[in-house]
Amino acid sequence: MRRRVLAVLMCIVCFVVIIASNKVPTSDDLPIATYITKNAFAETGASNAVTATYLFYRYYDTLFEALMLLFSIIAVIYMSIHEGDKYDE
Amino acid sequence: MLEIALILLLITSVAAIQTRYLRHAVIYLGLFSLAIAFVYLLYHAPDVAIAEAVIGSTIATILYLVALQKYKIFTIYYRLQDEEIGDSTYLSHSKQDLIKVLEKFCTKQELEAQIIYSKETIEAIKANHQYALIIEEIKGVVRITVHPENYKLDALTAFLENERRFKHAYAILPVEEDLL
Amino acid sequence: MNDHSQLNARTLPIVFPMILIFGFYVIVNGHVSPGGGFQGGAILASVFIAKYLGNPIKTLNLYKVQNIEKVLLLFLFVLMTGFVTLSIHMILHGSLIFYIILANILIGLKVACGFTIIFYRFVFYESR
Repeated sequence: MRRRVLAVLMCIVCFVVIIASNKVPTSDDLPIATYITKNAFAETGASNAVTATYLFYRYYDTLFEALMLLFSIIAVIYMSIHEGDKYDE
Repeated sequence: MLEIALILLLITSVAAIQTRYLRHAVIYLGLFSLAIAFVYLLYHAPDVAIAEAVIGSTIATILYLVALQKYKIFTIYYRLQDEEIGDSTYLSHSKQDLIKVLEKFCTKQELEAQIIYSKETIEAIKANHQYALIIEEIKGVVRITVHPENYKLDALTAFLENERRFKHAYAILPVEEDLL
Repeated sequence: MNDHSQLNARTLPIVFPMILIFGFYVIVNGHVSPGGGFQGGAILASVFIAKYLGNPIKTLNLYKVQNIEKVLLLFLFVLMTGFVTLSIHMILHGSLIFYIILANILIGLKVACGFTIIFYRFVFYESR
């Protein structure tokens, strides 16, 4: 029951976030790479366009990459527990 | 400059595949990571170059080395003579002592001992199986045949000299590496 | 690494502060120079690897490190959704630079925790 409530809550939060999130304005004459390299400094203030990209234009990528790292760590811990071990000692 | 780095990439990648020693392959892979980080730098992608240099060349190399050291199966063939099988003396106390000493050596070196009793001749074992050591006992002398790629030979010699419980007379016969 | 050498144990601690400073430099200057959270975090994690090479004793409580990592990830979620989707950054002079530096620091510390956990689990627990 609690899990279902949590799942529904997560879905609602995701929906709200997707609806409310800002969109990168794309003009038709410029491809997205040119747009980013041209306007990154003016819009975010970061002169390193890569940082501006992964923290502003494509922040979902960064967020779920961090989540993936956490999952892989959980997998490593789970695989390296042997019989009779405590979690950490 | 770029051409040199690209040629280095080719050389290290082919060497990493073609080498016979896993440890050398790991080192070649680290060199490959360093070279490809340089190539990224020359292609004006310094972010990727930093990530590659740190992760590929440091962390992955050390993880591979640790894994190689942890999981190493040390295969020991015990070749039985016909009379040993006949009166089943190979289960006797002194013979089991020899096995125990070798297992202790393996535990000390963080290897996993795998002991196989066999009736085949030494030449057949050499030709057909993966082995690290072949042991046989002929008239009270233990003859230890060592695989040519075995880099634990010096450690084994030192261990057997220092081990007090090991009372057998023994002879170590390293096999010359044949160039096929 | 079974029998660690005195040379490693004596000289590696000299290098620790430099690696730490370099890692934090890469993290904090991620918005003006090449680098960023992920790369800096990996450099910070290599401090612990150097510590292991010098003196292979486990003194770190991995359970706490993992909890720290989870809390950092939660902060990252809150920061990203709050700042970017709800446009709070428009209040702060319309500049995103504060958000970018903060997110870089959070990502860097999180990645450092993650790599440290992976390495220490491999080294100390993956043997029988």
